[in-house]
Amino acid sequence: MAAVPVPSLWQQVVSVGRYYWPRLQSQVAWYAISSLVIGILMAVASHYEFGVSYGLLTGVLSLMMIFAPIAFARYNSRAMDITVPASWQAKSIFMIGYTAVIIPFVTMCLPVLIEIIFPGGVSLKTMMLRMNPFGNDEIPDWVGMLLSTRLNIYMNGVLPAMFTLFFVVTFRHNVVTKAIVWDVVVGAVVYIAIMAYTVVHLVHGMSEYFVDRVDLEPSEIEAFTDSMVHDMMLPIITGTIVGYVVTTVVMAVLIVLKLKKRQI
Amino acid sequence: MIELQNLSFSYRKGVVTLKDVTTSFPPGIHLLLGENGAGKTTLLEVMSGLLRPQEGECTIGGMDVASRGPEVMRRLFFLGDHMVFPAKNIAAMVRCHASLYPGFDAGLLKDNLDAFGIDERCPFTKMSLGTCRKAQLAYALSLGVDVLLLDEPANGLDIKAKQTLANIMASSVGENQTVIVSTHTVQDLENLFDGVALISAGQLLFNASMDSVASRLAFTASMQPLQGSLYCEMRTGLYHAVMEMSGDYAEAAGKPDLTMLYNAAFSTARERIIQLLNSEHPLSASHS
Repeated sequence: MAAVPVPSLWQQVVSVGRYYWPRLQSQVAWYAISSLVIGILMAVASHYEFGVSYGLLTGVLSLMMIFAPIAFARYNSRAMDITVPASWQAKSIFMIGYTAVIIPFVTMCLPVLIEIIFPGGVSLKTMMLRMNPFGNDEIPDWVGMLLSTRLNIYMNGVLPAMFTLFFVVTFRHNVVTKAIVWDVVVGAVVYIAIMAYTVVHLVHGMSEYFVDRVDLEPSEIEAFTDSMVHDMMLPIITGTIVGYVVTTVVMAVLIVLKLKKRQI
Repeated sequence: MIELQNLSFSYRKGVVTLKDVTTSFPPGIHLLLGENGAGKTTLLEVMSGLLRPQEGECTIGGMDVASRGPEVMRRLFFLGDHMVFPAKNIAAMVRCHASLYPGFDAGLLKDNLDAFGIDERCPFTKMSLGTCRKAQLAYALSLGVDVLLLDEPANGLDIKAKQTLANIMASSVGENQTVIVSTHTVQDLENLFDGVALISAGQLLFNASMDSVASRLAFTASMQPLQGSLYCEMRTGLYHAVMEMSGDYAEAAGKPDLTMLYNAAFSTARERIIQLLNSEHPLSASHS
C-alpha cells in the first residue's frame, strides 16, 4: 500500500465516533425523547410541589447516564473494536467524551431548559432546606451549588457511568449483565459506607445525649438535633465532592489504560 | 510482508501457546495448518494485535503490530471464526468502518457481494450463518489491506460458496497483499495457496512456498506401494506417497497434496520433512 498520511488525532476521534455510531444512534434518539418527557414531568412536579416525584425523576435522569456506556457493548464485536485503526488516545477521547459530555448533554439539556423557562417551587436545594440539616444557617454557597439540580444529576450520573464504561471495556463475556451487576455492587458498597457513617454518627450523638447526660431543655433538643445533623452532613458532602473528583480521575485513567492494553 | 521475530505467547504462566516463532510471510496467499489446539488462531490473533506477545515482535513494514497504532492497524484486517460485525448490514459497515482503510475498494466489494448473491442492505440478523460469513468475507477482501488474516474462512459455506470464495480470493488479492488462511478444509481452496506453514504445539515446523514444497517433495499415486517413500497411505484404491524429490520422480510427481503433506508431517517422517522444507529456503522457519 502506498504511504498514506495518518489522520490527525481529532480526525481519528471523528472516525472512532463514526465507527461506534450504528450502536449509539438509537440510544441518543431515545435519550433525547425520554429527557424531554422527564423534563416536562419535572416541571409539573415542581409546579405542584411534588417533592418526591421531582426527586425520583432526577434519579431517572441519573440512571440513564449511568447505564449509557452499555451501548458500546451492543454488538459482541470486541475483536473489531480492539483492531479499529485508531490510536488508543482517540478511542479514549471518544468513549470518555461520549460518557461524560455527550450523554449528559443529551440527557440534561431539555430538562434544564424547561426548568429555566418554567421555574417551579421545588428543587433539590429547597428540598434540602426543608430538611433543615444546617440548622438556622444559610446553606454555604458551594454546598448550594452542589445541591443545584443540574450539578447533582450530573454528579450522580457521570461517576457511576465511568464505572460502567470501565466494566464494559474490561469484561470479555456477558458484558451487559456483568456491567450492571458490578454497578449495583459498587453502588451498594458506597451506600453501605454512607449508611455506616451515618449510623456511627447517630450512635455517637445518642450516646452523648443519653450516656453523657447532656442536660437539655425541651426547647434545646431541636437545636441539638440540627447541630448533630449539621456536623454529620458537612463531612459527607465534603467527602462526596473530594471522592467524586478523585474517583472520576482514577476511573478515567483506568479506562484509558484498559483501552490501550486490552486484548481479546 | 509480515515478519515474526522470536514470537512467544502464553495465556497462563507456564503454559506456552506459541514458542519462539520466527518467520515471514511475503505477498501471496498462505495456508496455515496445524492440529486442533496447535496455536493457529492464537498466532493469527497475535499477528493482528489482538494479543500481545510476551516475547518477540510481529511487524508489518517495520512497524510493530503490538503498538496497535493507526498507521499499522489500517494495513491489516483479521476476520475471526465467530466474529460479529458491529453494524446492521454491509452498507452500514461501509459507512462506519471501511473509511478507516485507505485501500478500501467499493467496486470490488460490489463485485464480491454480487458473486455471492448478497444484497448489501440485507441485515446480518436475517442472514443464515453461511450467508453472513460470505458477506463478511466479501467485505474483508475488499478492504485492500496489506495483510489479511482469515481464520477458518470456509466454515459454514456450502460447496458452491467455497468455489466462489476461491474465485473471489484469486481475483481480489493484489500482488502486494499477504493473505494468511487458517483452515482445516484444505481441499476447498487447495489451488489458491502460494505457501504453506505448519504449526504444532505452538512451534512453527516449517513455512515454505508451494514451489519449494514441489521442488523438495514428490507426491505420487500408484497401484503398488513405492519403496523408499517418506510417507504412504491408501486412498480410493491407490497408494499415495510422499517421496523425497529426485530425478526418478520429477516427471511422475503431481502438484503438492496438502492433505498428504499434513499427514506426512505428523508421521514418523516428520523430522525429515521439516528438515527438507527448512533447508536453504528464503522462507525458512526457525524452530527449536
